[in-house]
Amino acid sequence: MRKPEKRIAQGCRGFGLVELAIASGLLVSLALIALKVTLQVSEVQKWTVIQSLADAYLSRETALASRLPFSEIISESSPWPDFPSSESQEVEIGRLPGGVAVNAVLVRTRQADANNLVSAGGSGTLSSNPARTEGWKLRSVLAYQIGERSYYKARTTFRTR
Amino acid sequence: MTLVEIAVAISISLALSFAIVLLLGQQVRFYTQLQKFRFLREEAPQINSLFATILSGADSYRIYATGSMARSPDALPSRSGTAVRLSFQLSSGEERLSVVAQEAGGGSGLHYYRADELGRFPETPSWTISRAPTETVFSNENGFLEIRMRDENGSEITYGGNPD
Repeated sequence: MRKPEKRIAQGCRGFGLVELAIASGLLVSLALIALKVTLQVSEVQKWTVIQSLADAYLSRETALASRLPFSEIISESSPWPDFPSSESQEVEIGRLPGGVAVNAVLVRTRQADANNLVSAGGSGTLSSNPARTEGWKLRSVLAYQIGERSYYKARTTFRTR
Repeated sequence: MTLVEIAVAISISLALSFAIVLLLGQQVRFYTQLQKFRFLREEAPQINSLFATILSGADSYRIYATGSMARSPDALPSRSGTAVRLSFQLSSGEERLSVVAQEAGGGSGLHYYRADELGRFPETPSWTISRAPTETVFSNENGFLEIRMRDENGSEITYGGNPD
């Protein structure tokens, strides 16, 4: 009765260490997978959140471009300078949890409609534009970075008088 | 099994247990961090969509310091505040009023009040837009309606819009 017990005890010597080594290997693998998933999820989340902030900021640009008096749009001190001139400024588009500011570069410019009269920056004539209407495309481009990639988002508002 | 083997086995077991606890802790921290982004990730886009829909249907707006002032017929509007009163012109020529207000207290959040045909507002909100923002400021300082929202974790997002 004692002989088999002895054989088993001798055969199992050190087997516990092998089990522990396998367990630690599995644990390390699990930790690495969890870390990879965590990084992927947080990157996707950051991408989504910053895109939302950029969209929200551009909704302000559209609102301002729609509301600004026409005289200010075409004035020398217009927030949307006549193309090829442009105005560039760094803006804060929002804040992440913890109050971390998200910055972007906003570029504004305006382009005359092709049918504007020459005096209004276009190539139209009194026969093509007898009502002397004047139209301007107000463009706002927001440039920002998420990770190593650069993104550009633009909104154009057409104003006429 | 010798004493040395037992000691090594116990040490490795302890190390494994410690690693498991660390791993669990890391997962809990990650989940907590993920929840802090909930406002910007889930609520803010929905609020933006709702505001765009509501504002596009309105004909004019007025900003008030508080929600109760916005619901009062005699209160004076201001350039910025925590509530906005929207006016909707119906095809029949009648005017309908609504108020969107950030309110604190038990039912804190961004609430929507719809007035009846006589312009009387209900005591309780008609519906709640979101409970996530802890601070909402409506402002007209740049010539259009600006809506800046913050949550308890310091996230901030700003929208702009105009009634049609």
